[in-house]
Amino acid sequence: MAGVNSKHAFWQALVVTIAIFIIGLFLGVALENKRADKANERFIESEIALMDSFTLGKISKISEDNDFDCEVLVNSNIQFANKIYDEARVFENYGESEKLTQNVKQVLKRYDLLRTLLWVNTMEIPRDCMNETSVIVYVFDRDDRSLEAESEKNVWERILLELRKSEDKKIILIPIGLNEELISLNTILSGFDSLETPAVIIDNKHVISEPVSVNELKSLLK
Amino acid sequence: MNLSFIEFVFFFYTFIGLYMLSLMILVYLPNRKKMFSYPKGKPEPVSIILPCYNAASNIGNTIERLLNLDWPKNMLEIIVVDDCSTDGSQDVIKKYVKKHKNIRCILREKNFGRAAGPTNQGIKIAKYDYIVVCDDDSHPEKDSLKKMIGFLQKDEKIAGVTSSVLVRKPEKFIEKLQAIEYVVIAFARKLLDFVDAVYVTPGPFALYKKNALLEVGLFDEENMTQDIEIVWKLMSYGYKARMCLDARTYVDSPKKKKSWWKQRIRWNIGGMQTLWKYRGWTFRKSMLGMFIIPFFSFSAFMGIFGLGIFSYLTLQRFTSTYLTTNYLIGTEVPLLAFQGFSLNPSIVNFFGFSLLILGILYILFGIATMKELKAEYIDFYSMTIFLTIYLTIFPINLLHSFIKMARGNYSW
Repeated sequence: MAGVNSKHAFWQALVVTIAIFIIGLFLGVALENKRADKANERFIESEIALMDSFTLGKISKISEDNDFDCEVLVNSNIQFANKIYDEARVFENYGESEKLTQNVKQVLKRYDLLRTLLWVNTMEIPRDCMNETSVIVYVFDRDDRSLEAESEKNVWERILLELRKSEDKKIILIPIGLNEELISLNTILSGFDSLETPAVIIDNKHVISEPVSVNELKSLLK
Repeated sequence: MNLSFIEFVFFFYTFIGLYMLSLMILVYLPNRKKMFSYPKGKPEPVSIILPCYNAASNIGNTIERLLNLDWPKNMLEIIVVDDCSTDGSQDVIKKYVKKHKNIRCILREKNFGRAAGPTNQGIKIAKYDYIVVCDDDSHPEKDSLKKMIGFLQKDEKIAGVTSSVLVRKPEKFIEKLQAIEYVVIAFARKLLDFVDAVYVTPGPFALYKKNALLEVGLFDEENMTQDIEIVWKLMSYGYKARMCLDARTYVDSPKKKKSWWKQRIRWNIGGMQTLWKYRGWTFRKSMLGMFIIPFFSFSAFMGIFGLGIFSYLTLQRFTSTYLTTNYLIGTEVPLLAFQGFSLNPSIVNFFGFSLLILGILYILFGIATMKELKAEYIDFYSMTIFLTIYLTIFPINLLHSFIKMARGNYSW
């Protein structure tokens, strides 16, 4: 009792499957674009916040009466760093799940530049204002997907999270992904000999490439 | 696109899975009202071949059930072929032979070890033109033969008919899993019937035309699954097989994991033997060449390849966990930490999840259509395990079968 359409079912199934796949891919692209749009919006907000922090830095330099409030300047950088650190964690996950487009990854690269600017900005903060605040830059290679590199990155992220929990008000934590196209970042990093990522740079002095304990890191802070 | 090789393979698997699902749905929709129908046939003389080996506890009841089939007694003969049983089966058989004129028996002098040899022996001496092959522990419903004969009578190209093979009174957990499996298989096999792709007439109860069997040289006595091989052989001669979903045969499934595993190895090896034997038919213009053989070969390959990928990913995960733990020791950071829940599914996850849901729905739909599984036999736990873990064991069994076959280390 062969069905009436038995011979056509094979071709029909192929057409249906291809159609479902194409629809699925379109939906996938739409989803990734939506995530990229969200990341872009946050990026624009962060840009504004960074510009604000820059301006504050400039104000502190031209302030004549030396009673400029360091706490305001330092806190604005700490808050900004925390903001983009939390955003970065979300958008790094978006980047990992991005399969069809490269839009979120492009935003992440722009974030790397933003964080490089933040790093430079912290270097311009008057020394007197930074007596009790340390700048910790965590440099990692986003494109290194080897097991060892991924494991090290996981461990560093957890160490830095623990450090941030306990030293929240005293550190400016800046994670930056390596990027060949960012000449500014590469210029700064070239100043550190034999830098092997993932690595942590504390106050532009101490470079740590192997994961260490939270207490060891604390001992290197101001 | 930013797909790794494994993600690409995953997409490919998803495509194939989706294709098969689409095919089943497209076949089902125009034929849904014909699922349980069968052509009306008229009673004709039938020879039932019943190979037997060490079935003293079953054979008497099986013979009784066959005698009680809703079929004119003067149109039925039963030929029991005993393959050198050592448990007293022969004594049981002889009692029935003595009591019933339409029961004959062959007592083999040497154990053959597989069902095909004794079955062929019985077919050769069968009086009638229709042959039923039956297992020594089968429980066919009384009206099975009545429902099946019409398929052979209405179309001269149809040489074999199979019934729905279902598990009888599943009690142990493993039996319940098999009960679900057999129901889903029966449903799927009926769908394949609509595209002339029934590829097996399972041993528990199948009906054939004798002249077709003789024409193709009877069952392959070296094959571990002669019920698959015979259909492929019939198809290679231009015949077809059909599935009568409404004819039900109940069997006792393996009750222990070890015997279940051994049974599946035998099925896999038989399947591979058959594939190898008919490899020359691949892509020849016929359902056998264009669908059945590619489907079987591809399924086997995908199963083993998928197992390889899964093993690789598992090993990768273990290595990553080991390295991470290694690095974490001495850092004063807790080894286990909840860092918040982050759900960021990718397109790969969506496709995989969709396929999983569709697959589960298909299985549940098949079960609901069959209406076979009684609530007291099947529970939520066995259904969940079937839908998640049970099916994933098959590639491992397939790999084991492949290794055994490669070593030549197999027997019935």
